[in-house]
Formats: sequence, C-alpha cells, structure tokens
Amino acid sequence: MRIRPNWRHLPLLLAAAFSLFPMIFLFLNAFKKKSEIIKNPLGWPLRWTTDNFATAWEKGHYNVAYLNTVAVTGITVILMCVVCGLAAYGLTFMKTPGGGVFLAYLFVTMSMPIGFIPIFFMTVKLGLIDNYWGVIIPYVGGGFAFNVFLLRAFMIGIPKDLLESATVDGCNQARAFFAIILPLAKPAFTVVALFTTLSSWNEIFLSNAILQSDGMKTVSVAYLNFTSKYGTNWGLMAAGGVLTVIPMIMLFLSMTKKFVSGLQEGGVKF
Amino acid sequence: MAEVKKRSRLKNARGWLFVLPGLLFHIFAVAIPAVLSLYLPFTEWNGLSMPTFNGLDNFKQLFHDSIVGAAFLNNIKWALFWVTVPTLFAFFLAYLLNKIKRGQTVYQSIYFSTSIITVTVAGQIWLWLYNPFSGMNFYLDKAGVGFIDIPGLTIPSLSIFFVLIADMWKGFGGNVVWLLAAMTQNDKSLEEAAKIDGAGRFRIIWNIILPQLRPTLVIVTMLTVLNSFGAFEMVYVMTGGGPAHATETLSTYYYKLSTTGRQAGYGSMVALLQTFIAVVLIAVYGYLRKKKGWDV
Repeated sequence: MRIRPNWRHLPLLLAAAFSLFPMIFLFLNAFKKKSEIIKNPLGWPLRWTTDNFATAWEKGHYNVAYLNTVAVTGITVILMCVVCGLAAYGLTFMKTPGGGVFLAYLFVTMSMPIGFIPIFFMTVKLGLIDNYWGVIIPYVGGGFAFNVFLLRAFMIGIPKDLLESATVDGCNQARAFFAIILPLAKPAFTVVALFTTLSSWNEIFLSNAILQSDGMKTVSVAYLNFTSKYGTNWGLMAAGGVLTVIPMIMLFLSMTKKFVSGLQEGGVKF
Repeated sequence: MAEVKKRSRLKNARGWLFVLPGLLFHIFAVAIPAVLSLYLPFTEWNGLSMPTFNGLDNFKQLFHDSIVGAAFLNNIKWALFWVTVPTLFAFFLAYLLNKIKRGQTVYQSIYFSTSIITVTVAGQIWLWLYNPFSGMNFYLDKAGVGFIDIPGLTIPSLSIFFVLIADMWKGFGGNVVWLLAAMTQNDKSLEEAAKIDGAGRFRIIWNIILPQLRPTLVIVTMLTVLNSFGAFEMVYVMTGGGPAHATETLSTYYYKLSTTGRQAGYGSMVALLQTFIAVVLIAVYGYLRKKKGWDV
C-alpha cells in the first residue's frame, strides 16, 4: 500500500522548524570554539568541544545560582500545592460560609495586573530583599487564585458520597483531605506543580529586582548578568544558555503529555 | 433548634481554616499591594525612604511625559500585532492539526516547547540571529543576496517589530493548543453537511468553524490584549526599552523608574495607568458579554 503524503504536514513542519531552529542553534553553538563561531555561526560544529560548559559553569557561578533556583522553586511548588489544595478543598466540599463571594473575588483579582512596585515596597520594608521569601511569598500569593480554580474544577468531579461515607466512619476533614482527595486529585496537583515549577524557574520580573546580590540570584537572572559580562564570547554564552534551560527541557521532555493536556484543560475551562 | 443551627454554622465556618493559609499569602502578595497601588502614585518616593504624599504632582507629570506616550503607543502596537499575526498563525496551524490524524501531540509539543525557554536565553538567541555580522545576515551575504539585510534592532523605528517576532516565537504555541482544544469540541456533523452541500473550504471556516470557536477566540483575544499592555520580559531582555526609548513599554518604563531610576512614586503612577487600561478593557469585555450576548 502506498502512503499518501498529506500536504498539511508541509506547513506544519515549516512551523515546527521555526520553533526548533533557534533552540538547535543554541545547542550547536555551545559545542563550538569561539574562533569557529565567527566563521560558522549557524552551522554544524566542525570540532566538538565541551570546554564552554566547564568555563560557563565556573564563571557564571552556576553552582550557587542552581542552588538558589532549586530552593526557591522547590519551596514555592510545595507551598502552592498545599495551600491551594487546602483552599480548594474547603471551597468545594465544605459549606464554607461566604465561599461563593470569595471565589468571585478571587476571579476578579486574577485578571488584574500584579502590582510590582507595591510588592517591591513591601519587600524593602519587611527586610526581605536578598531573601528567598521575598520572591516565594509573591509567587505563591500571585498563583493562589488561578490554582484554586484549577484544583476546584477538578475536585467538583469527585463524588461527594465518597467523602460523606468517610466522615460518617469518623474520619475528620483534614484526614479526609489527605487520605481521599489528595490521591484522587493527583492529576490536577501534577499540573499545578508542573506549571508552578516552570513559572518560578523562568521568572525574572520580581527576582531580578528582589534577589539582587550575586550570591542570591536565580539562574534566569544570573544569565542576564552573564551575557552582559561575556557579551563577545558566544560559545560561552550559548553554553550558559543551555545550562540555564536544560532542567526545564528535561522536565518538559519527560512529561510532554502532561504539559499539553494541562494546557488544554486550562484553556477549555477558563 | 437555634442551638443546632448555630452549631452547624460554626462547623461550616471551619472551612475557612482550610482557606486561611493560602489567603494569608494572597493578602500579602495581592490584596495589600492592590491597596498600596492606589496610594503610592500620589507620593514622592525614591524607592528606599518612606513615601511622602505630594498630591497630584505625579498625575500632572504623566501628561507632560512624552516617554509615557511613546510607551503607550508601543503597547498598542504590541496588542495589534499579537491579535493579528500570531493569532492567525495559530489558528491556521490548529486548523491544519485538526485535519491530520497522526502527530497532533508531537506538533503541539514542538510549538509549545519554545514557551518553556527562559526569556533571558530566548532573547539572547534572537539577538544572535539579528546580529548584523553573524546570524541570518551572515548567510544572506554568503548566498549572494547581501542586499537583503535584516535590520534587526539597528533601526529604532522597526526594532519593536523584531522584538515582537522573538516574542511570537516564544508564545504562539499556547494559542495553538487552546484553539485546537476548542476545535476538537466543534460539532463535526455540521462541517460534513456543509461539505455535502458543496460549501468551499473558506466558507466552512467562516460560517461553521469560526462561529463555534467564538467563545474561545474572544477569551484568547482578551487575554492577549491584557498581556500586551503588560508586555515586559522580552523587551527588557532584548533592548531594555532602548534605543532611546524606541521599544519602551509601560511596564519596562515603570520598572526602570522604580528600580534604578529612583522615582518609584512616579513609577507607581505609570503602573496605575496600566491598571486603569486593564480595568477599562475588562469592563468593555463584560459589557459585550452581557449586553451583546457574547456567550463565553
């Protein structure tokens, strides 16, 4: 049987090339020597070298930056899942008085632009400049409304009978949350965790202003400094770029389906 | 009876205990800043000391500041570009994806993959591609068509457009995923029926697919416009608002005013203008939804 090529793949592949080409180019340049990039900026490396990575890791202080980013991202993700999960539970399964009004209020705050300057002001006054909490609090607070809606949308689909039978059996609300809802709502929590990881790893708006000293910078912001310092050494900068994005690319590659389906659900429900 | 009712109300109020931890974060990150953002614009404040009230001085300055006008215009350009080029592009791709049987997920992941790249790195990649001596121009020269010169960021009046291409590269994937998700929920039988009746491809798109997609398109457009008035990251990383404020947006302007510019009070006024625009947009959207019956 002859396979008939579908013409639709042609424009789709061109668009895929548009998406992938700049990234491939970054990866290839990371393996080239400085002298080679000048003669061959976009092509395949003639001689592969990994020197750039070692130098970039050292000169960009990536060990410190990685530690900072992992700490900030880790704490943010855990806190986000816990506080949003608890709130979504309280607003879905318990007859919390005023819950409906509160949800409407959250919805309104969601569409407003975040007040960067007031947050900056508060961070200064609370002495949280150069402190992880200076960015973690705004991250968790800023994502709270959206993630409560996302988790609630999922929890509404869980039958209430399950909970009622548990509470009749003498299970209290907190235990019901951890023993019944958490395992059942795991897919929704995964989506929250994934997108929170992504956004806090890549965030620069707040972290650039709040985590100021070199020892506190996250990788995304550290790369900004790195490029302004070594602006002419392209191999080094490409390697630094790869180091900055590689954890997120690994995460994306290992959980591609989850990302896409999470995005689809988010798009349909909001 | 009253006793029982009171007790059950008390029991219900325990629900707030579950909301409380998140609510505290929300208060510190959203509620208090929102209130402060109504006060700080009317103060003189360098970003470090305590703000002092100075009435409408900042408000007057806002109207005499030509940079605000330029930034506002750039935000409008940003919005006009985003609701046309990337949205049409995303619609076209989603339409094609809806028709093919295999590889939908692979294509979607590839298009979305650019969104996970940190903006500092994404901006740097595009700076290279635009570089006059290397990048794309290097190859145009080599191919003997050196007269085609991609100006990149060298011509101030065009530079915002090239920043936008980089931003589109990073952000169009999400739109493809959303539009496709909405399209797959469309009623397929309508399309079949129209095809049997001899309707052409464009007629089907215009009269059958688009009307069904309207709720999603309205939402996507709305979010795109809102985001456009908050445009910050790609501009800040690629040009920092320069050259000579040519690519300045409201966000980059107030960001610089408040961090390095030592004029945080006035910066807050610029930010308030941005919030005001967002409120107007949301109000218009709410009006259309209610009065014109634009179901969502």
